[in-house]
Amino acid sequence: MSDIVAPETAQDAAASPMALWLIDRITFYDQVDAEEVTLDAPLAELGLDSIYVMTLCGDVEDTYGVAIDPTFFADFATLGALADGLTARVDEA
Amino acid sequence: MLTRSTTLFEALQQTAADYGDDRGIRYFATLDIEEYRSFAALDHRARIIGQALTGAGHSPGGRAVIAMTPGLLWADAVYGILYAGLSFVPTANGGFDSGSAIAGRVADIARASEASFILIDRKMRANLGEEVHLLGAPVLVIEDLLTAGDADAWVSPEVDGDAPASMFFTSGSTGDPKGVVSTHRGLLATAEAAEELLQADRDSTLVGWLPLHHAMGLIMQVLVPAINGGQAVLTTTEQFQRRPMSWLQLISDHRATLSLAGNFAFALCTQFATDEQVADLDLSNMKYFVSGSEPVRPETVTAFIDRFTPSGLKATAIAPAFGMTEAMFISTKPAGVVYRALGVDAASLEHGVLVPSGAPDSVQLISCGVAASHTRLAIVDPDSRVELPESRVGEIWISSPCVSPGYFGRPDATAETFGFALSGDDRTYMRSGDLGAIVDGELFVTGRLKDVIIVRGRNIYPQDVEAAATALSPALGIGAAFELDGATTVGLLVEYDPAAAESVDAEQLVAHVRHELEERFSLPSVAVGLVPTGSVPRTATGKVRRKPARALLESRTLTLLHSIGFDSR
Repeated sequence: MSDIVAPETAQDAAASPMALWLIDRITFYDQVDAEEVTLDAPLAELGLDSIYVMTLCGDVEDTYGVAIDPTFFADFATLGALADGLTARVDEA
Repeated sequence: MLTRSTTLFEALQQTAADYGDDRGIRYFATLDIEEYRSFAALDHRARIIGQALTGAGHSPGGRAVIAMTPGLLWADAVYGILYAGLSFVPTANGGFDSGSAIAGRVADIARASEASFILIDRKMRANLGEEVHLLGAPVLVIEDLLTAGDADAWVSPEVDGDAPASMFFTSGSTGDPKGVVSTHRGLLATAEAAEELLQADRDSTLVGWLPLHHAMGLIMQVLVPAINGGQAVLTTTEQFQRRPMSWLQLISDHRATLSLAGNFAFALCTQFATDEQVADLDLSNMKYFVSGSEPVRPETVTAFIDRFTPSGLKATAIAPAFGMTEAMFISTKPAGVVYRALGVDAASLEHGVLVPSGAPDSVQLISCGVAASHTRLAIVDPDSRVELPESRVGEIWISSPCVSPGYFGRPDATAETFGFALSGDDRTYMRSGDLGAIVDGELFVTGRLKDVIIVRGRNIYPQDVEAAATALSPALGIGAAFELDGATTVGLLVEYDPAAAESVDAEQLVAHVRHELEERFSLPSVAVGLVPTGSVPRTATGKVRRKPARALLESRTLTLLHSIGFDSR
């Protein structure tokens, strides 16, 4: 259900696997238009309401094996920053 | 039928005596952490807690707030309080709020309910930290009561069926929280309705994740199984949100017959299901997928049935339902048939009559079915208070043993809602505040009475105006439509996000929306205001609050980015 995606473009190749995975999942949730889901996008504008933020926590846990809750997102302003933060969290687990 | 008990504690004792450890509540704190509380064990723990409370000097008739983290201890808390003869007052604490936010909310409810004490668990104690001192009422920790109490010394409290058993605070659409009282008799009658309409009997297996601090979750998922002797398999709301498909997986694994959820949950599972999951699931044992607590959307139901028919789901299992805290479970789809959908003529609907129509622009309504045999629904003209015949739209009135005796400490609000009569009928009714009609014996809900806009004798439903406006541009989001005084009949505030559309001329857009709505709804005059995203007031569950939106406009508290028609404002 939540496979790691391979980069499709040269620009994507600059994004980390975690970032690509986040873009894929948030696009799948379909709460905002796909073109809005970019690394620069503010987290607050990606349609992650109280339900979808929990679903993302569940997806992170199922795919990467780390347990997080919605308070984890408070430290990150953009999707790119969240990707970096999650990568660090996974690496330390 | 079931119990001859007249109180909830008698009913649990009866269930414990009848089934011992064979029936109970299986609770999944996470999908890997499972705990079983048989009804015999629940009865035993309730006696311990009840005796500890009595021993600590808490007398029957008082109210006890429950402020605990989600968990199986909620069942112990509810019954422990009942076994001491008090009534329980749940508070919401499943989120990730700070200690002071939780304490503030709990203190407000403790004050409003004049609580004798507040029951917390050790985890909540840790979450509250120093803020526990702000709660304003004596605090008891349930784990301590379970250690201190003596089940053998428990004595049945001297309360009868008419005594209060619960108080759920509801804010309704005005944002003014009121404590809805239910009696032992009322909750037993709710279990009876569930048995009659949902086969929630001793052979049933319920699966659910609804929060236990809300009426639908606690009553249908804990009390009804404990009263009727059915099995319950529960997990937390958070588990459902983390993995929406875990709901259907639990239903499949435990051969459930019954589950209740809001429309959004059905949509989530349709969205998230993979083909592999659909193939692995077996939903064929489900008799009642109850869709309640929010309006049922025809397209959601259709998509859910399409997606999960390969899993054995029967279309007859989908049961749209109607209920409210003041009357608990009111109506649902009759047994053995597919839920009824009705297309009605839009213009006739505005004039308060349901006329079946197959035209493409007909309004789609979903039936909420029929009431239990101990309940009567009436459609009543809200002004003349005369009962209306079938197909006529009016306020839904309910006469039922499930109806609350009233709001705690609010005699005026109580008199506005409860204790009404219809001529030629000696029953007592409550006014639901919802509009609807009965067709072929089935209830169709059309909207909230207080939100309806009346234009030259026609009912204009604000949700229709809002939906029509939103559809006109991707830059337009949630809206609130309401009646205005004076020549301008309808005001509409709609959230505006120019980044969401290719290129938008805001002045043209408001003029376009105004023109379209005036034409579509034959309105003499509409005023349209664009507001920043997030500024239309909503309830915690996302329902638009139209009267507060109007108040914000009139007090000039709201930023109008662009507007047309609000001339004298």
